Amino acid sequence: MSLGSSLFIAVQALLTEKGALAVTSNNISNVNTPGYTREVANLEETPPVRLGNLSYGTGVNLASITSVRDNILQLRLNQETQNQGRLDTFTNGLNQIQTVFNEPAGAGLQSLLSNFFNSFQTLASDPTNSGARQAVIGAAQSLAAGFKQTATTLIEQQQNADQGVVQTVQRINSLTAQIARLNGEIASAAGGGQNTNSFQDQRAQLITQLSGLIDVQTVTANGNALTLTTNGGTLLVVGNQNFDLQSAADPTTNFQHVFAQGKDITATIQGGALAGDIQLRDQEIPSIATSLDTLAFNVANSVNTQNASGFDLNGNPGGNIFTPPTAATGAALNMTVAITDPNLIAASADGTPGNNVNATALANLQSQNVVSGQSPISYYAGIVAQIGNSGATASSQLAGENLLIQQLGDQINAVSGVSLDEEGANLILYQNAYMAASKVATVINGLFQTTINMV
Amino acid sequence: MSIRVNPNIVPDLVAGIGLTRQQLNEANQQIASGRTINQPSDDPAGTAALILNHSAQSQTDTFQRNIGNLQGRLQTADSALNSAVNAINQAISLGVEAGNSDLSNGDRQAIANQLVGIQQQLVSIANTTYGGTYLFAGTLVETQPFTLNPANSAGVTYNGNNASVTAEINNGETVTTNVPGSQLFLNGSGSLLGAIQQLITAIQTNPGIGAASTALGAANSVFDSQKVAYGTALNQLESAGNFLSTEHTQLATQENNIDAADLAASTSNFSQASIAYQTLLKAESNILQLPNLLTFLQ
Repeated sequence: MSLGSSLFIAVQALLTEKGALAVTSNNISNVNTPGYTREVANLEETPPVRLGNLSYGTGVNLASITSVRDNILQLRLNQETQNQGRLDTFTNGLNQIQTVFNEPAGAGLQSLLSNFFNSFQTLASDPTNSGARQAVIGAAQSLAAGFKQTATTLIEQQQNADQGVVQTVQRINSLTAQIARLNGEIASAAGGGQNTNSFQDQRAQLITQLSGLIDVQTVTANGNALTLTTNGGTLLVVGNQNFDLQSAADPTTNFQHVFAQGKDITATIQGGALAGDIQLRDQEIPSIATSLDTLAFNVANSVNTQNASGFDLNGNPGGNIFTPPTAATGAALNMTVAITDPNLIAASADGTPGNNVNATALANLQSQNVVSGQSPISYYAGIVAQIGNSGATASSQLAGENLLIQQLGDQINAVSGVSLDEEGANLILYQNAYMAASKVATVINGLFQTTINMV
Repeated sequence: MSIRVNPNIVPDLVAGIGLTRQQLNEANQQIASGRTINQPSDDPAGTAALILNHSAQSQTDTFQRNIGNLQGRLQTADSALNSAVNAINQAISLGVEAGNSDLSNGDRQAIANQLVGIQQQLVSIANTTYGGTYLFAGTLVETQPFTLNPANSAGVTYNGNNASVTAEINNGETVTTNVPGSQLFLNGSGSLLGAIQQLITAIQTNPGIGAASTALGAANSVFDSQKVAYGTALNQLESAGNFLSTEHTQLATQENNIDAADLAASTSNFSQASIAYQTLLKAESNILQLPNLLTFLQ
């Protein structure tokens, strides 16, 4: 071994430690960067040389700089983020709906239904009283307005969810385009032997964001090429190519459906905000609206039928109090009071003005099973309980997901997060090694001087 | 290799603050609203029970109001009928007086004239209205039930009908709110107005005064037994009203049991959440100020 070799080893060590210090410095700089994965400098011995019987070490080399990531944890995070995205959107929408069924505060259809039926009871106690008759008309109008307003709010929420589908599809397309571009950059950088760590960090973050919007499955083929599909198998990204989703109005419902390469995939979407909006729009709200329509339809019809079996104050057979709904669908939205003349309320069963038998019968409709085998109030209580149950289930699931995601984040951080203590320790190690190597170079330089002075 | 702990605890700290803050808000909302259920999802079954409870309360309130209205109507009827009692007693005395054989024709005619006055008074009582409707017309409440008609044996024509009306005063409980005028004043078992007319005719034509007086006495008993119905109905209304107030109280208690916030518990929750929140903030500000290894590097 020559002194030159030793000097070369020392210089190599200086370069290596400088590289490791650069890694530490980069880690410290990115301590607060979201999505940053800590890097480690992988030092390795250079291959020994054999001179005669002896094998000499040839120093150290900075073999690679790798990011410390746990892909399994990242996958689990993405899966849970899909659930979180769906539940978050769903819960938000449902909370808005709950405000129009705010029965605990006494604001809702119950008081309107009760007032309406009870106004007949009051009329029965004084069947010719014009005030009591006017009160029935007023209560009927309030009830119709209440049904209309509740139905309108449901439609608004449904339209909000529909708008959400359009916006989410746009965001999904923007994210898949970015992921495809990063895939391309990672492939070309890896091909050129370059470090792809920062690209991979960005890509992992974008995939997590995408998971909040739609269900995503990741397929990694031969290292860096990444394929993203939905759970239903719809391609989103293949390598550096992204496949846009489209939204287009369905001709029958007029709601936006999601298409992938011409195929309607709306029903197959299971996760993310997109699934939350679709679930709200296509299942939850229609189910509530149908129940509300059933209630309005049966209340209007049973009241009309009962009124028609009596006689009004003019002694004529009773007519409709509500405009008869043509079908159950839309009955709540289109509920209107058909009469303005209070004398047309058929309180009497025999045509005499003092008879109150039909008014009592109208009042008692409230406790009769005229709506799908239940009384109007019981049926309505069932609707509100259904909304409450959906809301309670979704929010408790959401709370669970939030906790799970927090824990996964902790676990990912435990693997990939930058620890300033650790970096501090590394800094000392690399600094000392650097100083030691420079000392070695100085000593060898001294030896060179000694040798030269010998001449 | 040692286990690497999560070096970045800030998200956890922020989440912790958020969670405690949420508990604080919930306790605060319960105190502010006085209710444990503030939206259906807080307690779906409780909300459904609340709806049924509110509906029952609203119905009870209606029954109570209606009882108030009915009491006014029935009291008017009852006192009208009671005022008839004086007139009838006067008529009975006049009948006795007319039976005295010492009386001249002129005296009897004067008595008959007095009786005609009483007859008119009774007809006017029988036409009593309440809130613009006739109380003793059966269900033909918009038609004046009695008009004087000397051509009829009873001296009147009855334009009402024989229907009585029942009103619901609680679920399944009804009260009869009228006795038709025909039943009160022209009852087949003893017609009051008929007896008066008979007496007037008897006094004017002299024979049969005693029989007519007896008939009037009998008709008076029938009238008494008929008008008792109003007193009975008023009693029934009163006891139903009492029952409804009890029911109202029970429903209010039930509502409280479903959703009233236990103020002591809510306040205690609030203080606990508040203490937890402050402690957490203090602890976290301390944690965030902890040095790391780099702090000590020279």
